[in-house]
Amino acid sequence: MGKKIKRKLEEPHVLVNFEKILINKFDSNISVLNFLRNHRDLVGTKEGCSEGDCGACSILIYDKELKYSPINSCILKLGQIIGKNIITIEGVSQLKNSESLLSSLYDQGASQCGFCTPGFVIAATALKIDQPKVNEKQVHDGLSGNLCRCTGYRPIIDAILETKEKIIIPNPKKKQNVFGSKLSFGKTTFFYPRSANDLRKLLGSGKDFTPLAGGTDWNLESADQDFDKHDILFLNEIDEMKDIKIKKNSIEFGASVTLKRFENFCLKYLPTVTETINRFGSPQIRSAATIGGNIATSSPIGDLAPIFLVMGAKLHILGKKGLRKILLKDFYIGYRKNKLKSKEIIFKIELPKLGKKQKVFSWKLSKRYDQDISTISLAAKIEVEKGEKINDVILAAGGVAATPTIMKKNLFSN
Amino acid sequence: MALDNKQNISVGKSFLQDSSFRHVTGSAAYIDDIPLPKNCLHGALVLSDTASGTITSLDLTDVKKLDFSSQIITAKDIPGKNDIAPIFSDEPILADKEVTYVGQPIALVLASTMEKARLAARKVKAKIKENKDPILDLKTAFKRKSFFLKPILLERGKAIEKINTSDCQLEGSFSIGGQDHFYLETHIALSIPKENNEYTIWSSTQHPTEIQHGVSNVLEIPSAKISSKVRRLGGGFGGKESQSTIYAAIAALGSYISSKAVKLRLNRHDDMASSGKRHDFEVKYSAGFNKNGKVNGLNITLLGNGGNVCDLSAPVMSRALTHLDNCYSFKDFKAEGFICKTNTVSNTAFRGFGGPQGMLAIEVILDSIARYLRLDLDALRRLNYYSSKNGIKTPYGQLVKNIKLDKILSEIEKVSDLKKRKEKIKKFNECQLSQGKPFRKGIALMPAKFGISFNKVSLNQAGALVHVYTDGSIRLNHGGTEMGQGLFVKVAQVVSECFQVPLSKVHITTTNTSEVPNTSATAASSGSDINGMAAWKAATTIKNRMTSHAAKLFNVSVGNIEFRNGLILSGNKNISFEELAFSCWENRISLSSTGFYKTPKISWDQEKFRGKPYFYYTWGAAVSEAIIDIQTGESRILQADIVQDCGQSLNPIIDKGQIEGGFVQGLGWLTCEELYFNQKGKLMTLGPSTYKIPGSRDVPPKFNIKLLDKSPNEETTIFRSKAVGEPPLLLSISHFLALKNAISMASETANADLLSAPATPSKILASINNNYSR
Repeated sequence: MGKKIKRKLEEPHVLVNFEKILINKFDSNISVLNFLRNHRDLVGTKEGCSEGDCGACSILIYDKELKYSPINSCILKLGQIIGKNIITIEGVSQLKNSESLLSSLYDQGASQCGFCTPGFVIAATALKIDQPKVNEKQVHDGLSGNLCRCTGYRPIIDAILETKEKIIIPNPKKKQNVFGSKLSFGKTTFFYPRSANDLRKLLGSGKDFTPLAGGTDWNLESADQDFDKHDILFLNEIDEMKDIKIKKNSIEFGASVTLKRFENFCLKYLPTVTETINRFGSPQIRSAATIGGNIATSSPIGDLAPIFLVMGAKLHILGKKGLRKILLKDFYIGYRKNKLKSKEIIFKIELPKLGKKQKVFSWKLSKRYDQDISTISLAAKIEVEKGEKINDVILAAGGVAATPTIMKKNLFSN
Repeated sequence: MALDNKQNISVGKSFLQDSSFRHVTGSAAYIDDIPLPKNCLHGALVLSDTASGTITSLDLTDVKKLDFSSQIITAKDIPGKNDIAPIFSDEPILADKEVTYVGQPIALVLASTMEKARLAARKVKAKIKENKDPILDLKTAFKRKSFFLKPILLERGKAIEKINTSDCQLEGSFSIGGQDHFYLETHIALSIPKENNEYTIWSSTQHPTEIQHGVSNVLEIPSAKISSKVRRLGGGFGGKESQSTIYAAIAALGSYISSKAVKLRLNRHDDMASSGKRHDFEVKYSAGFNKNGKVNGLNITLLGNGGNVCDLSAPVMSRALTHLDNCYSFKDFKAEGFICKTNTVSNTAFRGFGGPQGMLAIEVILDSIARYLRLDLDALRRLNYYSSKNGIKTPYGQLVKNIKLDKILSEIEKVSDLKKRKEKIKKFNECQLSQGKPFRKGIALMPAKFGISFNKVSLNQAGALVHVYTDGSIRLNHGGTEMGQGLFVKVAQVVSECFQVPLSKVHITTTNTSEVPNTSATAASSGSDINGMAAWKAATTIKNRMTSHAAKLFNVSVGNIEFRNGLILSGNKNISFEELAFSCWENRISLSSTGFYKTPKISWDQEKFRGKPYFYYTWGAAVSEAIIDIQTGESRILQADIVQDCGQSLNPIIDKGQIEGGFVQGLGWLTCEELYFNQKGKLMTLGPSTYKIPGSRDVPPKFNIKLLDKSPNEETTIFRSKAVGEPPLLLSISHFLALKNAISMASETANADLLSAPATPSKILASINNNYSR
């Protein structure tokens, strides 16, 4: 190591409603929900489904890029939030300026059985942070990760619309926690690389890691799996993997860029696909899920893949020997199978910039508009000459084959 | 009678659900939030992976390899009867030898934490010898004559003859999908053993008494030793009427065997796999009618999927049959209901309880007839409505009195501006068609009549217990359960009204079989009708004693005493409610009373399928506007207008909440909620990632709710109110009919009659393309 700056090694902790809780001696890889309910007696946060789809377990999490955003605590592991500040329903109800939102919800009769209500309060709080006014579309977008079975939503929607006061949650004190490079939760050990270098070393260490970033897929899939010993390579502490770099001919996204940040990017640079990204999971899922994760999971439907395919995305894959690059269209080889070798991870995703004549569009068809698995997803890159003649079209679809697929011309001619 | 009291202090006003503030701050405690007793064990279930088979052994090798201890409990450990069936005796809590559906509980695993219990449960390998040819759907069950009970026949007049002699005949069939309750709080029970074989059972149930009976039977312990409690449910919708008994009894068995408290909380997957749902139905019909649309004869066959055990399927089928008439007078009518026995999870109560299936059936039939005759459905309905001209006798013999159709229909037509919008939509569709655009709209009205009372007469009873304390505070307990529907606040309003004290004086308490015994399920929309009346009676008994005492104090006759705004008045003398309560105690006057109510004027002969099962009917109507994309099959609801008869509403904001929530739940049933079973009979939609209930965007963007004005119940219900829990769900059928209208506008070849429920994009598309969907 070149520079020798001694940084104070803090004990591993999380902040829960700004209170510092030391994290040690957990005998299993517990979820944040389990931690809150069974270890902190914060039982306002509820378990509704344990698959990140109903929102009853929603909490707010602070992160320097997104500030406070809602996240599902049921499919979030404690090891993923070391050093972070989370706000629970108990914390929200203590905030001075949440009163106006809470009393609107109360006045409108926005709760019946009340079991989903804390989750809705969290989602509504997220909407109202620094926002004195929100419109109906924003409300639906903001509530798309929360299910209510009693009210029919109308009073919840009205209560949020009529709340005029914005909510302010102070940022936690600047993060200074360098808490060491690993942490064990029973048989599960989280490894925390902080740079590409750390990462390469770990990949070369001979250990069999499960790479983990947002965990919206893996934490669900692994819930019913039994591990004797399990090492997790946590990818969210590497700044380089969270960068978005706009270069001359391309844009490079770190693989740990969340869907929420990608959505923000699209709003600015790729507005024609924003609706699809906005329908990707829910706000809670998009705060956690990463674009690298969505590509690596190699679902035949993965909503990002068709867009990335038509744009000619290139993956930067990191292994112990360094980086290699591969075009996304060559990456998928079968149902949930791809060309990642063991001890390799997707490090960056490079999207070529669109030419002036090019535009990208995307569509999604599902049983329910919000937060549903696509029946079919489709993306098109179209090149238009002088705004009238179409020079070229590239189409890609999800949900039509074992992998997301660029559609070849003969698909139509036959 | 005092129930018609005009100067209300509480009743008729909009008070919020009793726990609203605790809900929004996260401080309302559900069963899973109760601090646990020392050494409490956690349970997890081992579920069958086979639809039909014989358990040969439980292989525990892998469980023994775990580095923590666990205990496996099976049917063999049951000291009493392995049966908790609510009506018949065919329902084991744990499969003994035979498994009869995928997801059936086979064993309970206990460990020190839930995670450990679930891990150990996964390690239990149940070896099951699979039977050949399980029955996995209604059609197979019907073909193989796999039924519970004999078919239920409802017949009046000469239907077949009338059909054959009519100008026109039409035959058809369609299917109606099931529905998972998807209460946000999954099934949960906490069993706490006490000294002398006493048990306290906390469970998320609509029917604490049935929990008490179930535990009593399974453990062979007298009911008197079992306290069954619930403060609130995180949603019920019928799913916790009989089903919660299974899990409570399993938890109790666990604590009996381990001598420790046991909590059994199902995860969503196990909840959806093992617990009952709304019955899916197949409908077959033939109809005879005139060219003008007057229906002369109807012959309808209903197949209802009972699942592996009979549970509540017979009363569900009975309600389906008694709602096939909806608002129409059919003099020559025949309907036969088959309760099919299949190797799928037992279907159970679900908001509407067969009513929605029956009413969807008749509405689809009339819609098809109207389409066949190229008539407007509303015109056809008008020819067939119950009226003095058409007749007011239902096929099952009850007379439909106090018909509110005219009032409701004129109100809904006004509120929804139906005529103008029909025209607008016609133009919209013509425009889309001529321009080759993919959108089509449809609009439809749906009138609804719903019978109130449990079909089984004995269930129509309720009890309450009221105490007045010497500080004037009032403690209220009754047999009803609070599952979000606002029952507790409504009943408290009744008590507050009786004593003329502010609502805040009435303390609402946990439902507990040790306080009010032998209760009925909070179901059939009857909660406030029967518990409200029982509480009114309890409070009135105390009030009468207090009145006598006040009369003595003031030295006037009882008739001169008035309770008003927290005071007891006579002329210019008065005393506060608190002072009078204290004075009653000083003078040794009891300030506690029970109250008991049984619904009057009802009778039912299930054998003959005749009688007067319903104390009264509620009325309602809705107009829905739908839009579809004919290229993708996607659909949305654009507007819904509802007029609902709540009698003289006890609490308008609560009633409005029931209407909105019920309607949206119905929309889910008819559009996006699809249960998918694979070829082995395994339910594949086991969580919200694959089973889609409506989200906030699926609610009609324009959603107008109106309670019918000046419409006190003609029957003496509590403050002349009417039940509201289930009826609004049926109104969602208007959206299904609107979708059919939109489909019929898609093209010349589109066939709206092919649409079955739920109307998913693929079914809508199949219907547009005139293909049968899988």
